[in-house]
Amino acid sequence: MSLTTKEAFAKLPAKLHRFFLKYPPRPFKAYSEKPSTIDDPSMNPFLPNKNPVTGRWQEPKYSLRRSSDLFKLSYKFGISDLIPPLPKKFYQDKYDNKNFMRGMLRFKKHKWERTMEDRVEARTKAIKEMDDIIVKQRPEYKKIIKKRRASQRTWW
Amino acid sequence: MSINHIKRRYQKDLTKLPKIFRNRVVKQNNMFTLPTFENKLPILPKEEYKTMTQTGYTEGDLVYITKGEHKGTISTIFRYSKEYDGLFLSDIIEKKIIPKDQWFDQQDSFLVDYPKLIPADSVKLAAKDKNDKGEDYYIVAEEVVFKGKYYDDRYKKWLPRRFVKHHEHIEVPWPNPPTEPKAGELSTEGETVFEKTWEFQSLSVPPFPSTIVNELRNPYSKHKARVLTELQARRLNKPTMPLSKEQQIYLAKKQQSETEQPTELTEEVQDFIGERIANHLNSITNPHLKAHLDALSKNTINH
Repeated sequence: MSLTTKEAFAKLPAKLHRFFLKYPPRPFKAYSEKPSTIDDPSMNPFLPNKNPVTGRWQEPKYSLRRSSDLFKLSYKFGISDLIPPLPKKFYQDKYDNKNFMRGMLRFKKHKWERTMEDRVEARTKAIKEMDDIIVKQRPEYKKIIKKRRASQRTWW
Repeated sequence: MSINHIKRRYQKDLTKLPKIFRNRVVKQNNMFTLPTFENKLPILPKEEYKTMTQTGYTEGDLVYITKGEHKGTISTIFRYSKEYDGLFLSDIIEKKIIPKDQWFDQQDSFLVDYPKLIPADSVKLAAKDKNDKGEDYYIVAEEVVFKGKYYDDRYKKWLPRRFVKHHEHIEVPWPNPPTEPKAGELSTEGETVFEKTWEFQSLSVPPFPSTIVNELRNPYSKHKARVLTELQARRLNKPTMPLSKEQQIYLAKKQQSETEQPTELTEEVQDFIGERIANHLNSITNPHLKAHLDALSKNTINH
């Protein structure tokens, strides 16, 4: 049995109803996602807001516990996107968009571990080009290279 | 210092001697006593004397003999000797020989009946009771325990209750004392004890009855007026301070900015929310979730 809009609206819990009387649902009124000032018409009651006259921050109108209650209740009735944006994530969204700690995503390791790859590469390169490096510093080393090549065993 | 006091210094006090010397002195003494009057039990020092609550029995109690010649007999305690830790029982008698020069009046034999001293470790406390048929039976307590205390009017003192150990539902009452305790020179009479001669005084307890206040003070006094005059009221209440200009401006602004809270959502908003809820609820198939949402919907604002 499908419900009509009027019947469905009659099912709206009093807690949400009273909230919407104070803060109309989203498309009818815009709410800022970031903290603003208390005289801002798009002031978000779930966030702390600044008093421009005194320069002091005011606590959110709804505590995290009360705002969570409102979200969870509205979620059950499929209208969670009508209430102002919350500073918290819920349910699957909370796990999908999780901000992991840097240390959990990439370990720092020891310094020798971090630099090992570069050092090994540099070492292998230096061993490979050893003769050239020595010749550059000591030109008479060419003779030794020549001698060595002459005495080298070949298949013939 | 009396002569008796000085004499005591040169007397042999067995209780002051060590145990081995004590036995030796007893042996020496026994050399000069008649063979039947030999004392076989050692004398205890004063510190080891036992009271009736330590031994568990007193004169008049029944005891069961567990060792020796009279093993298995039940008898009444005639006297308890604390010096020897032994008992004289009413039925346990032995014959003793007395030389003729020590005979008392009307004695006609060398042999006399004399109560036998029985060591305390060879007796157990016994008690007599009647069963359902009215027949007498005895119980013997291996050990006794004391629990609680009560005032015994026969002994004129507080006594602990006596029970058989491990069978603590069996109480063995104390026997009647052999002689009634007599009032001494320093003892107070019973009736005098209950005479109230002193009363504890405290701030929490007023010395006079509370009803006396109305007699001491005039309840209709003119100084006791319940209604304050205007002057008195003005003196007691602080005046309301006039508001400054800034405060007045602030309050006027605040009143202007305060708009009334709407009591109802507009038709447009109602339809929008109703549509969203209808779409969501119509898509739900789980009966348990439906029942849960129905329960949540019971608390609504009725129009």
